Amino acid sequence: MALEGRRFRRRKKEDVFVEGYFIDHANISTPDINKTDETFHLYGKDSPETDVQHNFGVLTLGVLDKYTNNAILDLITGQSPLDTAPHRYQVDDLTSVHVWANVKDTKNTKYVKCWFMGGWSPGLPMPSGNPEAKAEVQMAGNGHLPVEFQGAFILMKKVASGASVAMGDTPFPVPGTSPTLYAVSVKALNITGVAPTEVINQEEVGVTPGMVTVAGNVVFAEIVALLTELTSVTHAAVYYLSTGTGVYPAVKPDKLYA
Amino acid sequence: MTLTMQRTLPNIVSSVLRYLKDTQYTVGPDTKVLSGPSGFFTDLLLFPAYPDDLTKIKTPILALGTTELSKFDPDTYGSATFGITVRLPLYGFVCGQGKPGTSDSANKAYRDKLLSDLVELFSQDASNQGIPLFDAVSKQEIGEIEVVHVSARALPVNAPNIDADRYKFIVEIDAAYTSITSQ
Repeated sequence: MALEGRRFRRRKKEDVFVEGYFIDHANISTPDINKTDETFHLYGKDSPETDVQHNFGVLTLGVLDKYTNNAILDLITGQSPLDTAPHRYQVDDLTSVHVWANVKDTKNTKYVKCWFMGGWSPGLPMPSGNPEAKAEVQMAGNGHLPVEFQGAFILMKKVASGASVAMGDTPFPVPGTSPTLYAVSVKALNITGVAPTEVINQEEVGVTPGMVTVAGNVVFAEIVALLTELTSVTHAAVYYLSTGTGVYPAVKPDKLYA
Repeated sequence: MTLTMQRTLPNIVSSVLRYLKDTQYTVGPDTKVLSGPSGFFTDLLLFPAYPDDLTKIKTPILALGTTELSKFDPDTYGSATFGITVRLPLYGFVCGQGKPGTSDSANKAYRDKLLSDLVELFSQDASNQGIPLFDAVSKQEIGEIEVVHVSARALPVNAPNIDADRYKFIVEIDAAYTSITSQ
């Protein structure tokens, strides 16, 4: 390929996922970081020393509204998108979700990079648009500091608890970690009730070197040891890196809800 | 790689023809279809293409021209939806009304009524409820197309000695179709 403008990717190549659900109707995606400029004036120096303080991640997601249910609204209010019964979306039920986008190559044969924002907590959105426009729902919220990866992409597996449970895939080590980590994020889940009306209580825990092994085994003792709120854990959601070929839907993460 | 096509453009043409043929509407006390023996315009013929020879036309004709792709919008992340807006030109030729030699007013009145009915049909019913989209292969209804814009105007006369050329008009319909993938 000639080194022309085709080197530069278009953002339509980003597959946006929220808790494992492929969002096929997103048309606004603006991940960013809230920052504060720092300026230090020092005696004897004509120019100040400067820095930027990175506070937290911010993300605005806009989706075209559907006639059917909007999976993001279900997820940010702690409800299963698979539940076809009438749903209520209210502020009291808002919860945080993990959001990521995997970037496809030009031929859509594999993912070549990604960005990941954990703990995204948007406010409750409402539809907008003029009468003749397609209805849009725009969600804005804050989350953890985002992270980007080149040459690897995010997958998620939801595994039932046990001593050391194989998640069925071999994670790619998180670059730059020592000792090596094999997950980008891990959530402890306590699932009660039966799908599709199950209730999932979640707690995100810091990833430790022994939590997810090089072979892709999830060690629940490592997760339970870090819990501060949940007293019972039935599952774990592991967000990890992969470098394999294929794109969605051939390559798809687990979904948070059954 | 296997590509699955939906043959959207010809499906839209045949679906609009079917819509024009089957849709009933009410004017005053009468509820009828557009054309045919039991329609508002009994001698109106629906053509799937622009007529080859205007000199041969003796009765009013509505002819669908070639579908033009007006807009293509891969406007979602992941390019998950396939959405197009097509422009359908619908040409009308009105002739054969009234008595020979005094037919101008009758042809003009016929054209104005037909043009008005088409505009209201597309701008009110089809833009609100959509036009059922049928698949030419399976003959099944596979979705709907939504009329997003309509324009209509009379066309100037080029050859006044040809009856069908004297009272021409065009209705242009912008129809949007989106194929939505599932999550």
